[in-house]
Amino acid sequence: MAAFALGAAAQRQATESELKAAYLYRFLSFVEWPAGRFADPQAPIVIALAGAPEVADELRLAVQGRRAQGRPVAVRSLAPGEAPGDAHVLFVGPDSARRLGALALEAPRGTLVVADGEEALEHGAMIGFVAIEDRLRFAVALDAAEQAGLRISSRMLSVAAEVKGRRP
Amino acid sequence: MRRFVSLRAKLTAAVVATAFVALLANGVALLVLEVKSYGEARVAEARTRAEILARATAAAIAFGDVRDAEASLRVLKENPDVLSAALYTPEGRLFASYSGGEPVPPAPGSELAFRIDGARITGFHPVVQNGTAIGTVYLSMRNDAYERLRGYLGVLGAALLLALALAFLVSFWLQRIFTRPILDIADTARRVIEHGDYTVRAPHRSADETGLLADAFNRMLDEVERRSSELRAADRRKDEFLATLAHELRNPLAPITNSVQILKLKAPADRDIAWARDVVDRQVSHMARLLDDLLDVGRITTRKLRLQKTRADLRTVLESAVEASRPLIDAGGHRLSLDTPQAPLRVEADPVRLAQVFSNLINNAAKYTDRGGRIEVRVQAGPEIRVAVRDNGIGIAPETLPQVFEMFSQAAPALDRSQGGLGIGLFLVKNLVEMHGGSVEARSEGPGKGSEFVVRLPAAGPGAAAADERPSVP
Repeated sequence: MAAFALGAAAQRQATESELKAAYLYRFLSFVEWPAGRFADPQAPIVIALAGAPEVADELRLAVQGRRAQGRPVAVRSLAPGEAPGDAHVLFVGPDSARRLGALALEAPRGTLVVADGEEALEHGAMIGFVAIEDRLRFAVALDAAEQAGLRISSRMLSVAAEVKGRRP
Repeated sequence: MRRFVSLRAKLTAAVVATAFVALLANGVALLVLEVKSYGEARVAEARTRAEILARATAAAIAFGDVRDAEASLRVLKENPDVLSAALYTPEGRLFASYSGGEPVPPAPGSELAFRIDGARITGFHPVVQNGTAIGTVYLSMRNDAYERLRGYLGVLGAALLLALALAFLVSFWLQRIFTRPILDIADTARRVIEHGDYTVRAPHRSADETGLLADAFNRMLDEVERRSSELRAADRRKDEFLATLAHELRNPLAPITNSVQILKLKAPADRDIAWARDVVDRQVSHMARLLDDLLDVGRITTRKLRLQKTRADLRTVLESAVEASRPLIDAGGHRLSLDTPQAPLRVEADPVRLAQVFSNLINNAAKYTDRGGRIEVRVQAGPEIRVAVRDNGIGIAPETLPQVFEMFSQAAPALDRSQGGLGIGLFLVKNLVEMHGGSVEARSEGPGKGSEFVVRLPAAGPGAAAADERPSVP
């Protein structure tokens, strides 16, 4: 049924890119975009990836024939220097980590910016992948997401390694 | 005959049985409905819990967070109804589990549904996130339907017992309403039958059918009472009439008899006159006998007959009875034998009346026996003297045997019409014997086999005058 394995209990050792691709797809189920961010109900959710070709390849495999929130999922690899445009999710990979701040600024309001490392949250990312005890997990900057008009499900927050900017 | 079961018992049985059947049907129907709907509710509850569990653990499964998943499952510990729970990955691997005492299946089943499995409700439920199945939840919950069923059965049983007790009380109350008037009528009927008392009346208690029944019963009693008093009056008038009639007819016979006796003193002029005189003599004495009998009947029915009791020898009495019956015996050409024991046969009796008794019996035997018959009079002594008058005549049919002692009853017309009577001979016999403290009994083997009349009289003890003649009792 599923083309990839999940979780720490996975018997087959999944690669980091594989896991990140799976996570990126899974995020789509737990995030609500602001109204008007999609042209029509059938408009695809676009995931743009910068500087992460392996993740992009895995993601293309993972989303094949799948839908999220009833929409098709489109994967776009950004060429160096290319703006994220109308992507709903922007993943900035290690190769473009230095450009994270610029890309985050370029992205329109309502773009879920994902990057590597907890420190990425300081540079405009809303979700940062972190490795804890050899497991891939993620941290969330809730205030940044809210400023962008994104609503992240509390259920997803419950499994986050860390949530920053949570209101008391 | 069918066993007598009182109305009271039947009414109680009816009320209790009705209550029992109604309650049982009601209880069973409610029980079935309750168990079914409870089971359905429990399955729905299990499904809801599984759905809540699926939503709570969706993110944990999605992002492979076992600790979070197990934390979510641990919450179930608070619910004692949850026996075990488990989460599976889409590939069917066990992801996380909680066991409250029983193992979880190693892999999800193929069917995603909940069902009652004895004392448990188990099933699998999909974890769906945004239209995609991302895992499976297993949940096993305690099914206390059987415990509840036991509880319901207990309540049902208690309710049944209580209701039966109430029905019993109600039936007592109903009995007062329904059976008491009927029992009153039955009691009245019993008194009427047992004592022949037609003056009692059933009380009218209720304005319903039993009241109508009591009224109808009372009206019938009125009618019976009226008719029986009319009958008694008519019977009395008849007796009076018969007594008067016999008296009026008997009076002219004395001068006629005297006249015939005077005629007999002189030799008749010719034979025809002598024959006519004898005919008158014979017929007048026959008529006198009939009228004397009728007068005796009148005296007996009006209780005016008085016995002149004295210490008498039964042998002498029998000899005079035979003497009185001699003309009839001779006329029939019968042979009569009188067989008496040596012992003295002392009775306390009116010798004239007692002679009348045996004369009547011998006359009767002579009348109902063909010419040249045999008549035996046999006496047995003892504390009770037994006199049997037996003939070899036409006998008595078994069906008429019980009525032979009734007035105006004749088993068959006399063989010689000229000897026909009024049918009061045996009535007199019975009454006279009973007035002497004895009894009489008629026996016959059937028509053509002769008949036997047995008179039993108490023997009188040896009097002072006859102390030397002690009877030799065998």
